[in-house]
Amino acid sequence: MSKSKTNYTLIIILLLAFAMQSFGQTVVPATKQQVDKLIAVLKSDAPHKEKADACRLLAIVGTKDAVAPLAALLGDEKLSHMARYGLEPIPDPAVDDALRDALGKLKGRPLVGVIGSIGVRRDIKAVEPLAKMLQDTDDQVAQAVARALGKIGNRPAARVLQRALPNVSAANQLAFCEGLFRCAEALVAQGRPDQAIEIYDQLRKLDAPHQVRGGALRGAILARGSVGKIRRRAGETIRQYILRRNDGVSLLMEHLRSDDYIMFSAAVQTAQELPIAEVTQALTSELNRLPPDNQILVIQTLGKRADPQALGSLFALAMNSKTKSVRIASIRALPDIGDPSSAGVLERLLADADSEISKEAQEALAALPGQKADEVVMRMLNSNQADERLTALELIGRRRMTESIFALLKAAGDADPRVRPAALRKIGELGGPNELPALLNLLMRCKSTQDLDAARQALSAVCAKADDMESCVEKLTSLLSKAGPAQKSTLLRVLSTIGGTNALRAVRAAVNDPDTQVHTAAIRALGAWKTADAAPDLLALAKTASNPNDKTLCLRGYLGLAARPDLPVNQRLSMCRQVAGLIQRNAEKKLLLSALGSISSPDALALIMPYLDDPATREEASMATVAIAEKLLRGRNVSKLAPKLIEPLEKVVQVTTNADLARRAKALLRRAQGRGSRR
Amino acid sequence: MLKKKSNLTRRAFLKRSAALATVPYIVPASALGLDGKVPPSERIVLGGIGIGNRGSHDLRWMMPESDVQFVAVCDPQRKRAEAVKKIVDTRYGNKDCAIYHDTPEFLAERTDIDALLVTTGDRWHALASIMAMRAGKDVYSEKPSCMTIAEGQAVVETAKRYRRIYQTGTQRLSEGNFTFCNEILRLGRLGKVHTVRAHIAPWDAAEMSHEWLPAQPQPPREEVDWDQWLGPCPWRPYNSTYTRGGWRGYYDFHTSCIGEWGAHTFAQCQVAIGAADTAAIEYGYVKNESGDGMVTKFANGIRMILERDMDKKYWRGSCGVRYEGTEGWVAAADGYSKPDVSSPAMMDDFRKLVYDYVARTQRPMSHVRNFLDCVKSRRQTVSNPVMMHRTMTTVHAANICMWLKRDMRYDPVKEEFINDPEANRLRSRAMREPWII
Repeated sequence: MSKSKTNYTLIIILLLAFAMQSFGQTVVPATKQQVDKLIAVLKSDAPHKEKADACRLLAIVGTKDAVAPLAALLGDEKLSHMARYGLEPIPDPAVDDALRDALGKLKGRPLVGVIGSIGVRRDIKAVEPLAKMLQDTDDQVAQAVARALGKIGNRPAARVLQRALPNVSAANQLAFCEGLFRCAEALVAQGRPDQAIEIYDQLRKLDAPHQVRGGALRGAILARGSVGKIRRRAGETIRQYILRRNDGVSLLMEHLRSDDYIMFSAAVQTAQELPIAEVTQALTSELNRLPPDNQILVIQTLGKRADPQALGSLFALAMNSKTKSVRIASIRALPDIGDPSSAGVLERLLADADSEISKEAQEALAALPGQKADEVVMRMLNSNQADERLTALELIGRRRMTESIFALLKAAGDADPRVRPAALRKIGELGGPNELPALLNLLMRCKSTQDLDAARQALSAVCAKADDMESCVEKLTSLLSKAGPAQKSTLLRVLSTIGGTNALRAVRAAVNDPDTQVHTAAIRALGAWKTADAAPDLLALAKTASNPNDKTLCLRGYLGLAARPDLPVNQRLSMCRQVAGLIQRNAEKKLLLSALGSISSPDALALIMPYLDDPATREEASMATVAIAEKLLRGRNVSKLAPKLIEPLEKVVQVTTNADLARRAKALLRRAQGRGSRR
Repeated sequence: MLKKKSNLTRRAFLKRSAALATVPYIVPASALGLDGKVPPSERIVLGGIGIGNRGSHDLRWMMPESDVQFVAVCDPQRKRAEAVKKIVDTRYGNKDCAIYHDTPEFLAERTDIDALLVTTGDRWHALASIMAMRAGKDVYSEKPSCMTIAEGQAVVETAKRYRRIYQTGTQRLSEGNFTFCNEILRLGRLGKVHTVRAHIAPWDAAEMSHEWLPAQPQPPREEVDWDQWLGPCPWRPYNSTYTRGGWRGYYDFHTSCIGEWGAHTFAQCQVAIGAADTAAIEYGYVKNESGDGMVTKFANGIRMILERDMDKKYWRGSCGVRYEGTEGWVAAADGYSKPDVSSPAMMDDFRKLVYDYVARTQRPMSHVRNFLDCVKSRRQTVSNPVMMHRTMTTVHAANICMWLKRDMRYDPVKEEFINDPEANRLRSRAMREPWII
């Protein structure tokens, strides 16, 4: 073996030892010796891959010592990129020297790459040599130079590009513009907005695509910024005043009357980035001169700027514009600004003859922060119009007006049958356990189904927020003996959402209530129980029920609990096994299959299999089988599970008439057969 | 080729659309075409770059929108481009969809295209988006939308520079269940939120491979342009496995199991906790292959924990998020009919909260529709460049933490790791010429 090969072999061994604990993925801080080993690989005749890997590692741990060996590869067509990969992050000026040095020696893509890296590193010493390459006949080189000069972004780089721009070819124009944009942004960041303005103004005048012209206008406005406070002369219009300022606001103003929509919209949208009071003045002063489409863009911008100075103009448009979409845009801008004074205008607009306008006003009121808006809503709640009271309730909920509970409790006794349940639901939404006694009193007076249902929701909601659930249970169960059947049924449903031993005991007892409504409600409550604790009661009732309706209710309730995804798989399987023998009707069989289909276990498939033979249930059984197989074949231990899927899937393919299911089953079967054979 | 200025006459619909964007989209009678559809002159002209499986899904989502006309696809793989052409031509009943092979040529020639669907695979998402925005297009880019922190910064800068509309494909920010979770948190119904959990992919690892698949004979360039497929990534020999979707798990092409789902779930969590414009400041290294259990922390004190959830303790579907506060918790994942909640009463408000969100933000429960609306109204999308960059920064920082096997601290204002030069070197990668930003 030759010496270079021997050395190479040793190096590879050492490199691999390093790489085992290092970054083919990860890196630990490298010793000088380890870095030297990587450098040695670069200098050797190791294959491309090993050198490339060495470059990767040097990107993270490389030091000045690595610069020269990496730079030596810049001219290598195959390794040039990886050489830069290693060089670019090394924070030593030797890298910049090496890259600059390479400029005069390279051509084609390696040269383009080196130019790119010079840009990334922002080497200001490279401006002069790069400038000489800006007119290169290779467009890729010229474009790379333009972008790199932009990344360097100092005044000399900008001047080079600015001088070249008038004569740039069409193919290179966008790249030169990009370079200039980068320079301008860098100059602003360096505190030289005047130089940036020069660039932006040059770009604005260019016969260039819309994104350049619009972007240049944006940049020109922002770079100019504001000259600050200047006194407005007597008799001077706002437009004259702003134009006289000769700053970014003036430039923005100039374009507000532009026929060129690109420039108009660029100016208006830039206003969002210029938090200066005079901008609001400029925008609002022009509003009435603009066509509706343009007005809307300005209105949206005024909303985003959130300057209350705009409100006068927005109020006027919201109330009086002849164009509906302008009115709507104005209304929508009001919550964005969020000033309390908007509440009064919105209140007036609620009564607008146009229902779209009043609806928009309602939406805006929902979003407007502050006490004044709350007061408007409370006035609505006291209206003698039921529709208005309903709207107020909706707004109370959306505005989270938790201090309005007292008013809500009063509204829960409203004469209007729509208002009462709406108020009850809001109490549930906004209230807490403190409202439980009052809600229970209201429940005892509820008569209509809607009221009872709303009371149920509210009671469940407030109890859910309680720290002490048992105290809630106690309050509810204490009323059971006094409540009428409808109220009792409601209480039982609420108890099912709370759960717990005491609640379960009370509901269990209610199953034996002589009143049919209460008896049925108790069974339903068990079926909707918060946890699976009610399952044994349901199973026992299903076994003993003489009334077929009761049996159906129990089975359905039980199956609903068996389908709960939060229960362990084994428990759900056990529940399904226990109930299977009791099921006779097809409807319950399908519920059983649905519950089994959500259990990712081959044991569930065994329970499903018989149903594949029954025409009444084979499609549901097929769906359940396919669902289980899909999950199992995606999970763990696939090789072990796959064989158990084959028979059920073959059966599905055989029996299903659903083309999509058959297709899926066949695909799964192929996978199962393939995985099974790999064991 | 001389670049045309945009045709203002044809863009006149923008003017009208600015007005219409404030009300439900209504095409006035004068503009109605056949069957009530939007006439071609009023449609957003759409093209695509690198449309494969996921991209086809996005395409099928976009094309039914009445204000979209898909006109051209660019792909270095001829067969994929032809497959897209078939989908499009079948949809429109013609043979008009054009095919391009070379991205710069495509962008230079098609100045008529308003917006681009970029679904190339992680490695190209940022660069293609930047090239497209430079060319004056708005962009819908699939996720993960950048490979490094530096790429994310460049996307933000470019979108701002050229005033482009950009949406990253974190579509769960436009889905009802996830929106509900965010709103429940925002409205304070969970009390003081202390922890959010973000699902990461249960396959692959944080550490990725640099190995090369065996070299195969390179197909003719007109079949597969391997150079362009690689784009800015380090060269390696051709193997068809990469081009058929087998690029995941390779450092050069992928953002790891953390990025695979984290691009979604970190975005959800960060938006929910009001951290969409920043990144996590602390990352706790964990000794496993995936980052499972990594605790990250934000400046507002909230922890975000990465969860692989192999035992399905938190979720039953993919891309799950879970938010935990002093007064309750809420969770959602793919395939849920409704979110999981600590109190069933929370669900009473489901429809209302989602409705209120849509009314307040004017963002519909359709990610594609949100993008298209914003193309017309020029408002920010829900998954805008800043959100993408900052949430992907958290992804990248979590990856770097795993790669360097130590705890990290990050300064989201300076956008650098604190006292960690090695980590800072990993914020960018030298791009292969000529595919340089």
